[in-house]
Parts: sequence; structure tokens; C-alpha cells
Amino acid sequence: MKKIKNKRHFAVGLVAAVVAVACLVAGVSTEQSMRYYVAFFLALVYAVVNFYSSFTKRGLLEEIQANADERDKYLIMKTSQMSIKLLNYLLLAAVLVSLILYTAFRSSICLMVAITLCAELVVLFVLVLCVNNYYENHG
Amino acid sequence: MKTKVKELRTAAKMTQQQLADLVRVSSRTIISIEKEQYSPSLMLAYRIAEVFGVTVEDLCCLKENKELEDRQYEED
Repeated sequence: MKKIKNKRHFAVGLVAAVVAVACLVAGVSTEQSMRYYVAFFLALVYAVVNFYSSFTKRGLLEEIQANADERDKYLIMKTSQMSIKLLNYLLLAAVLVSLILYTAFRSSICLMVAITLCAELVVLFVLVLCVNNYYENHG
Repeated sequence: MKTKVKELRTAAKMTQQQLADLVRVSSRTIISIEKEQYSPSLMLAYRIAEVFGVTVEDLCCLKENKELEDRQYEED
């Protein structure tokens, strides 16, 4: 079996293939079948093109990974760490501002925004914990 | 981390790009090492040391850097 050179195109091809199958099933089972058959054909062509390029051409991310030297990887690591830290602070500040606005104006929208941002903070924390645990165990 | 990369490179009349090509990194990495903005990995330090025919200890001034770190640790 050939090696996948571009994972993104392969994933897009898979999604397009699923959409093509869904369009075919929808076309067979409904009366307004022509547009579903057209959609099926287009999705199938798109899936085939993506599958072909995933096995033949290396993607941009893969090219960057292959050409990156140790300093580039170190910088990417530092950038990711700082970005997560800043995102954390931004989300926290936004939660506090939403809560203050809620207490001032009693707007339910502000409360919903605060709750949503809180949930994002929790998800980010859990994600960081899981990824950190993975790298602790697997290096 | 202080290193002797610039000193050894100029003595060997080599450009940063030439050294980078020999040790399989980009010239930006060599520039960062010379400016003491980046510490090379063990393997990279070994490759550079091999190019100039010195030991890793001499190239990376390990004794000096260790003394500096120990002093900073004591101050903290």
C-alpha cells in the first residue's frame, strides 16, 4: 500500500467520499433525485482528486516539517506555550468582563457569554492536562 | 549559552551558511548560536565540534557556563 504523503488531503477525500455516499443514498430515496445525483458526482470527483493528491504530493505541513531544523521546532514549541498562556489570560479577562457587564446590566446574553467562555477555559485546561500526560508517558 | 562557534568559524575562514550546510541546519540557527540566543542540542554541538576538530566541552565552554549557572543558582 502506498504511503499517505498529505494527511489533510486524505482526510478531505474521506469526508468528500462520505458526502458522496450520503448524496447517493438521498438521491435514491427521494423524488427530487437529480440534484442529489449531481452532488454525488461532484463530491465523488472531489474525493478522487483529493485521494490522488494525498498519495502523490507532499502537503505544505509535511514539507515544513521535513525542512524544519531543531531551532525551528524549538521556536514552534515556545510559540505554542506562549499562545496557550495568552489565550488563557484573554479568556479569563473576557469571563470577568462579561460577569461585570451582567451584574451592571442584568443582560442574559452577558451571562451566556461568560458561561460559554468558562466552558472553553475548562476544555482548554483538560486538553492541556491530557496532552501533557501523554507526553509525560510517551516522551 | 556562551560558545566558541564564532571564534572557530572565523579562524577557519568559513561563512555561517557554509557551516550550516556542513552540520545540516539553517544559517539562522548558526546565527542564533553565535548571538547566544539559542543553545545547540548535544548532537548539533557534536557535529560542530567535529567540523572544527575540538571537543564539545571546548566548543560549548561547558566549564565556564557551569560556573555561571552555579553562581546564578546560589544568587537565587
